Amino acid sequence: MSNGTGKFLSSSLGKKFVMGLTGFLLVAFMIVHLLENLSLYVDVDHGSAFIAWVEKLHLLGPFIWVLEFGLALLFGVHVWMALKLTAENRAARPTPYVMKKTFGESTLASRNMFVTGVLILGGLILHLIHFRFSKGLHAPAPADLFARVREVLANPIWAGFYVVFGILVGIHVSHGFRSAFQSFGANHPRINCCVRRCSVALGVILALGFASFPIMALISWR
Amino acid sequence: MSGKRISLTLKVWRQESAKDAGKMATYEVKDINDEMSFLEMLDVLNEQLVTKGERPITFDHDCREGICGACGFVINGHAHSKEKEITVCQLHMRKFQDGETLVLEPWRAKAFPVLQDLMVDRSAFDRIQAAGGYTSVHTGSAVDANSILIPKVDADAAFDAATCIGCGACVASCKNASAMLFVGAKVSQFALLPQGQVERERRVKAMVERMDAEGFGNCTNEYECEAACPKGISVTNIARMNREFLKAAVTDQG
Repeated sequence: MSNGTGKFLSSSLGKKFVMGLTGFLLVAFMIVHLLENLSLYVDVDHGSAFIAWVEKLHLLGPFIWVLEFGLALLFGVHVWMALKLTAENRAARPTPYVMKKTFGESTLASRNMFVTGVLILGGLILHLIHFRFSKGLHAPAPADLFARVREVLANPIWAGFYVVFGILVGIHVSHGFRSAFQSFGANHPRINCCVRRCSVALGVILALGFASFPIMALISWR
Repeated sequence: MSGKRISLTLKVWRQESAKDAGKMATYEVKDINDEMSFLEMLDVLNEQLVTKGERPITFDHDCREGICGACGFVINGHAHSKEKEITVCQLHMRKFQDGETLVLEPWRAKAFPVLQDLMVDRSAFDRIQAAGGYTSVHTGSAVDANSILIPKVDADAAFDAATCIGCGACVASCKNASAMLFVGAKVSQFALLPQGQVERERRVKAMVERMDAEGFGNCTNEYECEAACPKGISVTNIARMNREFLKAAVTDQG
């Protein structure tokens, strides 16, 4: 890493840029993940479309490990930057206000990015234990994975957990997506309104989309 | 003066020095003419405190007409008060109701240590300016008027950015005590003009580096700064700084 790149990445603006970039890529992954999950609706009882999709992923062979490593790296960098930025932000105001009010564009989502982020990370670890590592280090066979999905989501406690998980992801993305545009310097009256609406829409789509599967499971698989 | 008379309860942050812990103190101010400015009301209270042999409340002020950037503290949780686009010296007592309780606090930021009561040390802004907030100009004979043509939109945007008075309300209102609106405005006012091109890349890098070293927080894109800015400076200036910084990271040789 050249000195210039190192300086960029260690600067406040550089860190926000990396935060936005990794966030964007993670959103792209989640959209693909959601599309994949939608295949569950094709054949609810036997999951043939879902199994077919997962079989295609298995065709990638060792390349799947590269993708998984890349994805883990994206999450790792995103979390690491979040920890650094949050620690710096807390240190920047050692004495809190006795009375503080907001009147900008602060929202429930924007004020709680760190909280929702930590909860999502915890949820993600459980999610990986549930499905990716259900059979040890090697990913389960497609049919086994579908059986595992049925087993986990048919449990009302885990179904509730995945509904909350989906909503948290939606809330997090609804601020993160538009925030990333500003961090990239993409702020112009021509696009601002669209970015804001898209950000909220994306959050709602991800929340409703991911929350829909456990609800479907409770209705169809119990 | 012929205004209405009001009485208020003030809860004011009192702190002897930068090393003192500080605490809130309560004062009753009675019979205040509502045509007074907020700072005049504090002057009245201070005269009463001096008469009683107590130390008056310290607060920064200079022009008292909203152009110097010296004054500023937080009133009931809002930097410079909840009124839009004014400094605290432009605030009038008619904006308050009789019997109201007001909480007065200094700007809270690690980079703005409290010197006494409501007065903070904002020299961090001066150091950021000194790091790159200048241009190299020809200082010889007078330049012909209109010899450097500047598009109207650029001139307007540069002027809007240059209206920043460096009061620090952006830092005070930001939940992370970030100085990005200030630095964004200072970077923008030069980046938009032909005169600012010589140090363009070096400037943004130096000013951001100084800003980080001063201990300001990071931007969370909630735009509290824009809402609190007495000059209505837009967060588009932060976006411009982000672009300038990214471009400088790629192109600057220094």
